[in-house]
Amino acid sequence: MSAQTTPRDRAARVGASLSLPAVYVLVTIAIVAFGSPFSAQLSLNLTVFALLALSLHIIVGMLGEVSFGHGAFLGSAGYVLAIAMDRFDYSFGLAAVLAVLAVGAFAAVFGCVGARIHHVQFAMLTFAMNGAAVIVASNARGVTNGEIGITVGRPDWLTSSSLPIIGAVAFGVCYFAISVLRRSTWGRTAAAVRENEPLSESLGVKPWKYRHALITLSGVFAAVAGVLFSANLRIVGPSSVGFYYSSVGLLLVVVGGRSHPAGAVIGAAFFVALPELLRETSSTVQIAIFATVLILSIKYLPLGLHGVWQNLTGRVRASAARPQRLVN
Amino acid sequence: MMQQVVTGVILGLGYGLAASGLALIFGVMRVINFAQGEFYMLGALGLLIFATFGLPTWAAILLAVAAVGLLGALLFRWLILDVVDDEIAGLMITYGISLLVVSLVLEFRGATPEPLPRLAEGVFRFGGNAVPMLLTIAGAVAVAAILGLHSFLTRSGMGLMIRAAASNRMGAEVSGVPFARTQIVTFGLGAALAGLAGALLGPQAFFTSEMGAPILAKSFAVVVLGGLGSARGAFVAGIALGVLEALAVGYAPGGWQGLVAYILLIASILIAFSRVEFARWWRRRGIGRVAAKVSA
Repeated sequence: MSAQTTPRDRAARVGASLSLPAVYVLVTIAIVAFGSPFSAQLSLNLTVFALLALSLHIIVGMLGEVSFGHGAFLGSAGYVLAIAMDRFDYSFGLAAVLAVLAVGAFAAVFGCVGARIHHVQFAMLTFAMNGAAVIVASNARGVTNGEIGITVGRPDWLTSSSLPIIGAVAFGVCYFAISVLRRSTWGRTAAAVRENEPLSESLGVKPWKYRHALITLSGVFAAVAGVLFSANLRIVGPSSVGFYYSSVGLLLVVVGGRSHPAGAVIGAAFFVALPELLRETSSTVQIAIFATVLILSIKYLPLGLHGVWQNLTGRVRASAARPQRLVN
Repeated sequence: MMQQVVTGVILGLGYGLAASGLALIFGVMRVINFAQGEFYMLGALGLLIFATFGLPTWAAILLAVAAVGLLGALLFRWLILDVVDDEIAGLMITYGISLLVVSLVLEFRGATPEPLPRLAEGVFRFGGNAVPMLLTIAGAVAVAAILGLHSFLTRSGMGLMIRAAASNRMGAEVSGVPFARTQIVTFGLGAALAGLAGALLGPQAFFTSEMGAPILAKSFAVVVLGGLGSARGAFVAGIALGVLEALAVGYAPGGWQGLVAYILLIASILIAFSRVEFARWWRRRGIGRVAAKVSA
């Protein structure tokens, strides 16, 4: 790579970043237009999980940490949406914007501490945040309506065919933003912070600023996923905040591949397709199969399904090899 | 009040026992074992299964603990050993094991809670306090187990290797410590400690496939509070958590009590974090002052 970036390079970068989101949106429109209502529903599920996985890709792939707390971001966005509409009679659009802003602010506050702690402490803090959120959601009955939850009303323009398309567009924008960010100078500096924080700090980079921005961005993406998720389900309850979605998001990233945002989409597609392939079996067996896939893919495919693709096309880079930790 | 403190201390000994396995594993492998709660659950399941063969309860507990330890060592050898050096992969694979174990147990034993055989009935009285006999025995066994663990770690050859591996991996490997075998033994030992806690404390309530999850959260809080990787610190922190929880029963309504462990976990991370940040801030100021003096 030359030191100077010409406008042509920049245009090529933007073009490369635009291809996957554009295809995604077009395919979703085609599915909604020509497919059955069931396939439109499936594509919406895919979008929700792909957005959640993209949000966790920022943490796992770009920040190099493990978060067990993204269910809290997902669910609290749903709660803000539902409470704003239910108690304060806000319109859906306004409540959705409010939900994304509120959860983004929450992630920014969390990031003040999260940007400065690492590894185990980071994982434990997110775990505790999620656990506390579940208990608050199920017990603060005056605000969250306890185990019963709150229904989310849909305005007239939000039908079962417009919602998948809106979701796909939102996903496309988020994916495009991530791709551009990854290829930018800022993104490369953030990668340097992830690979060697003391070294990047010695070069005058302020690591915590990069880490803080990534955590906040990840929270915003999870909030967008949460708004779509609760508009899809039409209800939020303590289970939307739970560990289930935190761990599913993490699973998608690890199974799909953590070195590239496309891995998040691949993982989500796998997760949405699996229950359809195994419709005869009970949900318990499905979880067991998914856990087995997770274990085997970590053991045999450290770069996930996306890594298989990269291997086939010969595009695996030295930097993408399994990160080995130095001695103690 | 005194009654609650006594109950809390004894309950806390059990928490310390469950968490000491997690601390031991973290100390050597630097990996968070998300399946630790499931080893607790398997300890209780082992007790249930072996008791149906007509064995006395204490023998069933011993067999269950041995089985859980063996299972932990085998799982580690087959699945975790190859990926343990990658922090994210190590954590996720133990999470996958936890998911797999819970769903398999749910599939084969069903969702109905089952009563567990109890080692003893009645209450133990001393000085006006009454503690369930079961808890008292659990506390006593926990103390015996931690003393046993301590003497194993300090007196035996394997214990020496475990301590060496925990304090300096490269130094230990250079001095000829078989690192893979040490890791396998450590993981099996950690699993067995959680299984023992499950077989001792589990009979307080019913057996379900999900009984491990709250214990995992409590173990995390205890391990972080006790200083990561220190089995002795975990015991002290376990007692602290037990007492806090027992006291919270008097002040907090039903569902809120689970919050104690999470608040403790968040608080101990924040305290560690602010100590580091404060030291850093102070260092900068200190250097600034020296520089000002030199230039003046």
